[in-house]
Amino acid sequence: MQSSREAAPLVQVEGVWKKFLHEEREVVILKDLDLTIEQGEMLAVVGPSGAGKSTLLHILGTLDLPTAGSIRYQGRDVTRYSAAQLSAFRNDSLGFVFQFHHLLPEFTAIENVMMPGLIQGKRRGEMEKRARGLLDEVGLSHRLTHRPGELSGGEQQRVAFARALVMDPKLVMADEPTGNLDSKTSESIHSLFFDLNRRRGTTFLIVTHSRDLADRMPRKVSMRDGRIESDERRPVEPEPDDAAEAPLDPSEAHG
Amino acid sequence: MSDEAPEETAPADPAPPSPETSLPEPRRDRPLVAERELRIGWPGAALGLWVVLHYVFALAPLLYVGSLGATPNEAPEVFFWLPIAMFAPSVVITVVLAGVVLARVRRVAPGTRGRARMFFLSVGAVLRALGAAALAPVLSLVFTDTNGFLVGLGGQALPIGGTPEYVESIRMIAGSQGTLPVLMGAVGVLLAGALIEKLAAVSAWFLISLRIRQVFWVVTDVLVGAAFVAVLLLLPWKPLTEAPDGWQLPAIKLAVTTIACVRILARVMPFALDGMETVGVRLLVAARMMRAKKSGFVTAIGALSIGAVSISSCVLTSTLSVMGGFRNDLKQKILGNNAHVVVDREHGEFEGWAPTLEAVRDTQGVVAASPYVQGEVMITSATNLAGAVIRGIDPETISDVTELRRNLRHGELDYLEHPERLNALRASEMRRGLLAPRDTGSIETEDDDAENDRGSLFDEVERSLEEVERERIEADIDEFLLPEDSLPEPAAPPASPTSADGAGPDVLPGLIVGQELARTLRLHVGDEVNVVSPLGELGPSGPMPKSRPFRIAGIFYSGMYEFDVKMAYTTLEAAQGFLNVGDAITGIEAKVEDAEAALAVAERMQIGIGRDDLRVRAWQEVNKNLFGALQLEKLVMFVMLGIAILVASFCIVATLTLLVQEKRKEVGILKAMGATAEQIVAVFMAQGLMIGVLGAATGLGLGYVATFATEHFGIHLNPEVYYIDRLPVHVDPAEFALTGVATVIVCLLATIYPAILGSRLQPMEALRDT
Repeated sequence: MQSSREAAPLVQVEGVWKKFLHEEREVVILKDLDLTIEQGEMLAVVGPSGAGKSTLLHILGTLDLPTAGSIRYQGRDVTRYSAAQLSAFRNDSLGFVFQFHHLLPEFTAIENVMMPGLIQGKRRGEMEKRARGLLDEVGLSHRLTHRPGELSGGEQQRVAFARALVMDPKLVMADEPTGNLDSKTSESIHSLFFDLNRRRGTTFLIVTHSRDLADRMPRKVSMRDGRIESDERRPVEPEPDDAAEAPLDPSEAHG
Repeated sequence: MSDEAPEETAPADPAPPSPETSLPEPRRDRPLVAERELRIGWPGAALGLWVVLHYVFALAPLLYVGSLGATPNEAPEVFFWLPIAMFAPSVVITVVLAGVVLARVRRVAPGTRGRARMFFLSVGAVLRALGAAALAPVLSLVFTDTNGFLVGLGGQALPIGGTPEYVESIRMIAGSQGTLPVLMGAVGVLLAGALIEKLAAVSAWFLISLRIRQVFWVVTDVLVGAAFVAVLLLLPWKPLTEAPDGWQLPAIKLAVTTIACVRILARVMPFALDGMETVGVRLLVAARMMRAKKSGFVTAIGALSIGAVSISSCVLTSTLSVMGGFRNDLKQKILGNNAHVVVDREHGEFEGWAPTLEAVRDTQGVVAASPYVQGEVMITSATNLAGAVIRGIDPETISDVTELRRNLRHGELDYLEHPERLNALRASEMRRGLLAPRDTGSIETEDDDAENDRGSLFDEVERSLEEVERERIEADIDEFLLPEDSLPEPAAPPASPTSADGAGPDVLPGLIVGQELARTLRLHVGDEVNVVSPLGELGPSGPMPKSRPFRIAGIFYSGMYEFDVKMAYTTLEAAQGFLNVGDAITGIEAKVEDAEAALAVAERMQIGIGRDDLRVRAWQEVNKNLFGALQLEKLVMFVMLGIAILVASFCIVATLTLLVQEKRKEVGILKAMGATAEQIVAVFMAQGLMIGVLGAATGLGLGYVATFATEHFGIHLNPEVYYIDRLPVHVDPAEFALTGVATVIVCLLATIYPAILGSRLQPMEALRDT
């Protein structure tokens, strides 16, 4: 991780525009947006509804293409990737957590977590081991064979997190991950972010309405009308409860 | 689904019945029962069972009365009470149960799952009960009618069985009593009610909790398995006797085997899907989607498309099998009546044939060969005349080449060589004389078949009595007709044909004609006919027809109408003399070891003969037009029924398109996780393929059962129309395989469009919808 950070920033967004045609009128969602995300950063994107937060996230996640501009992951412009390359890139470099968790209802928790690996063609046994470890990490080792319908909202979101992390992605994107959870559950999920960031050095980009979460994040990007209004960084104070195990991970030293 | 579902649907719960039992209480405004799924409760379960079981209660009095063995005239009071005993308890129980269920349904909020089913179940049951209540007194009157005669009751008193005559007689008696409108109305209401309640009962089955259904299936499967083993060991596949009900045991075996196969398939299916899941992510996702609970509409249309594929492939295979059966039958008959290979000249006469005959016989693969001469003639009998083809054959060798000897129904092939014996025929050989009206399998089969089919013991006794009588009369005639000395030894020929002292008939050359020709000309063995050849000697006023008398030496039945109506066989010498061809023949017919290899033998024969003016044709070439037409017909059938499969595959297109719509979100998730378009295509194609394979498998199975049943139990055809007495079936495994493969390929093609549609879904669009 140390070496990749020296070569190029993890994500470099340059001059990205996103426009839609809505009933003959052009609607501009993103206006000439620039953003750089470093490896291991934790980034909160805040702003009022319609500011373009989700669109930015989708474009970063290659789920949507920008009208103009480039998105470079470690120097490579993913907007020029073919469909197959994009699929492979999404599969092993990105992780998504959606507001409505979006788990596959036909599969059990552990199978949902295994799914990205299975899509890549990895062996079931190998993926099962990894998925079991991750679900254990998010505190769901007792719910492995439950289907999403049999899990609570918080549990579903934890499964979604485990799934986002299972391929060791460079960047995990979350779109209002705790938007429809109660505050206590939200709090436990937020702690999970920090915990995972500290221990695994995973880069997080979280679109959120939660002021509490945004304030705790080391970097806060505010958006308004398709532009970045402010980009604040602040030194992060270590979470008191996790301080003891934190120093084990070198990536904790960033920011 | 959710955890609490089983509790809600459990009908075995002892607690709920208490409110229902207090039904007769005066109405009070109770709140509607709020249930997501209707709890059936014991009245519903009882009504559902009663819908099926009430027949047993109706049958019991019937069987009891049947065991008494009394007729309506002997015990009118028994028959008066019989319908009431059959229907009254059933009506009372049905009305009570339906009333309880209806009262409960009224208190359940509208829109609750299962409410409509229980409503229709009880309404249907009440309708049936009303119909039965009205039917009972009418039937009582009919059964005790002293003037009426119930056809079908015979000596027994058991009025079950729906023979048309029996039903008709009930209708007539009711008509004479003036109760027919009531009867018809009651039957109409009863049938409508029965239909509604059965349909509702079937759909209400899915309201029963999963656990109980599983237990039911386990019990059923154990019983089916036991029955399967039992029939496999005890019952035969083929009917043991030709008796009309001889097919029942094999039919039971076939039915049980079929049910067992279906259940085995249903049991194996989950394991097959489990196996598929381990193959790869595409099949894993496809199998899971397949199993997952889908919306009612997609489930229904999915089931429909399986059914459509299944029915169309079933129809295709059984049609092809029947057509193959007809073709085989035809081939069998052609090979039986014709030689496998024919050597002849296209123009002119075939002279100096003796070395050729030897060459033909020496050809490798040839079993036998025989010369023949052939010409168009007219045959006139005492009453009629008909065109025919006369064929001179060598009686000694012909039976090695064709089936003529075996096809003879009357007379002897040897009479051709010894025509003098025709003058000393016994009455029994003439057969179709005045004394033998009941000769089966003979000329006038159409009259006898209907009687034979009944085949009761009574008929047989009658027939044997008749036979004794006939034999006696025949002996009398023989004594009268035949010369004293020839009677004990009929083979002894008279000294010379001309020394008959003018008393006996002339010795004429024998002629063997087909059954249809014999019928047209009203010919019997021993009759004299005139054969007229249009190409006779030259007379003063141009060519004169040549006429010569023959005597019928035999009547054959080949099974091919064309043969039976056209062919007349005589000896080679007689035909040569009559047709004025000298020593020339028309051709040589030969039989080969393997009929299918006749073409190759014909080629070798052509070389072996070494004569360019002769042509050698195998049976395939001779009948090229016929088999070509059959082949074309089959091809057209295949294409047309293939179109049925194509239409069925449209169902798959619709199913998959809807499935893609329903699974948009899942597709979006998979794509966001990095699934490629190819993987999504594969997921949906695999599901369409499963539908196709399932449909093809059940269809082919069904087709096999149908053709198997037809082949073994036989479906009788009118021989007058088809010239064949039962539907021929030829099961060709290659055809089944071809149909299966074609069906699966068509289904696979049908999946491509919806699958691509699914793969084009953009992940964001798919996810945004929710």
